[in-house]
Amino acid sequence: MGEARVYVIPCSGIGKATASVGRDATFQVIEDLRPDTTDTLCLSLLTMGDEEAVAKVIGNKVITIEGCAKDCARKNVEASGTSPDISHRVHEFLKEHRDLKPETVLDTGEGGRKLAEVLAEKVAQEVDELAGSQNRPGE
Amino acid sequence: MAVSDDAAAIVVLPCSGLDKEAGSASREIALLLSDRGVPVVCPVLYERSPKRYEKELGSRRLLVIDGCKTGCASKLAAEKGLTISKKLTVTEAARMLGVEPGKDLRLGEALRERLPQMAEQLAKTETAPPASAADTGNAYETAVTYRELTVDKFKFRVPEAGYFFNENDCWARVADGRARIGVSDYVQQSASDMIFFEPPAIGAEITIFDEAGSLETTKTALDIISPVSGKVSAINDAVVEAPELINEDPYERGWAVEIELTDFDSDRGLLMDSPAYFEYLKEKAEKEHERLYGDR
Repeated sequence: MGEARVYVIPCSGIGKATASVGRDATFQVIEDLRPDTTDTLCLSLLTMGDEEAVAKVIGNKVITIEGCAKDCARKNVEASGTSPDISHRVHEFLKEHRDLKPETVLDTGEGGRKLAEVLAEKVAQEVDELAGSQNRPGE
Repeated sequence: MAVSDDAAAIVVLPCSGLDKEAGSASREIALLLSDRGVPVVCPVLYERSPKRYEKELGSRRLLVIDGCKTGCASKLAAEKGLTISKKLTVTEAARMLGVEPGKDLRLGEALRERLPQMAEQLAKTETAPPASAADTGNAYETAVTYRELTVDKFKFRVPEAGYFFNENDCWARVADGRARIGVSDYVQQSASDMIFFEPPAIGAEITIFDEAGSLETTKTALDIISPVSGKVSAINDAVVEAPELINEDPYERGWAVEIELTDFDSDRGLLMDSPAYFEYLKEKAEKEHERLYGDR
């Protein structure tokens, strides 16, 4: 297995603006904020039981981000035989930032983009903590 | 936006869309169709709660969008026994439009600009009446529609038209003096996961019912019994590279060999057309099921 990473896995994000926010936040973490310590994988691969994908979630720290209460990302990680270290629902962040309402699934608007930034910052901090523990022997 | 007649007849299943830029495009195309009133099936939710989409999937034609060649959406559809009316693989479609999908997760402008075109093409092609082999430049590209045969819990697909079969469950799809040949859905399901395809040599002369390559699966080995006579003109390299394509899409992407026909008029008399093969397979599959499982 390659270098340990923190896997940030959003739900598929079909149909809900909050799910688009979760994906946007994931992209920010993976590509902008913590490109050296994070990665993501396609949830469909876990759904289909892809061995490589399953090995990645079992062998690394995982943060899931859900667009709704169905918790598809978390449930699919659990179905792979492990549990996410941290699981977020975008709605919880929306409750704390009621002024940052996303608009539509295709265009989350200014509010949605800012909400994604807030969420991405939070996740990036969690990545640092998880990456630190991941790299310490015995943990 | 009002639901158009086309939108009322189709449902779309994209992959989760996290395989680089092409994955994001898969989801985005689905959402563009959604904006036109087409129901979108979330692949992950569908896997967990299939009943949620039972109505749409039972009454509409299914369009599938895969971001990459892994083909998760297609695999899911196959696993659930869904009949795919039309599929689009973003990486291939983008290249045809002159764009090479990038490694970034986010959509770039070049690809984003072409998404409406891809969405339109996907919906349009699927809803257009099928072209006949005679009036298309490449009949292999003609959309294939399927009938489904159910035997207990097993479902087998058979193309509604345009294919010819021998009793060895091998098919030929004829176009412009050539035929692509392959094995049926029944064969791929019975034989399990394909792991090797040993093709014949290009240029080899083959007579109807000769071997035209062999397959090895996790359960067995079998020969492709040619339904036509002629000279091998092409091999499906994609199947040589990834034999599982036969499991995923036995009648289209999973073709094995192309043969330049020498006497199809004569061969034709020894083959079944699609409706005849459907009836043949029905009897065969039911007998085999009874042999294996009895009257349980």
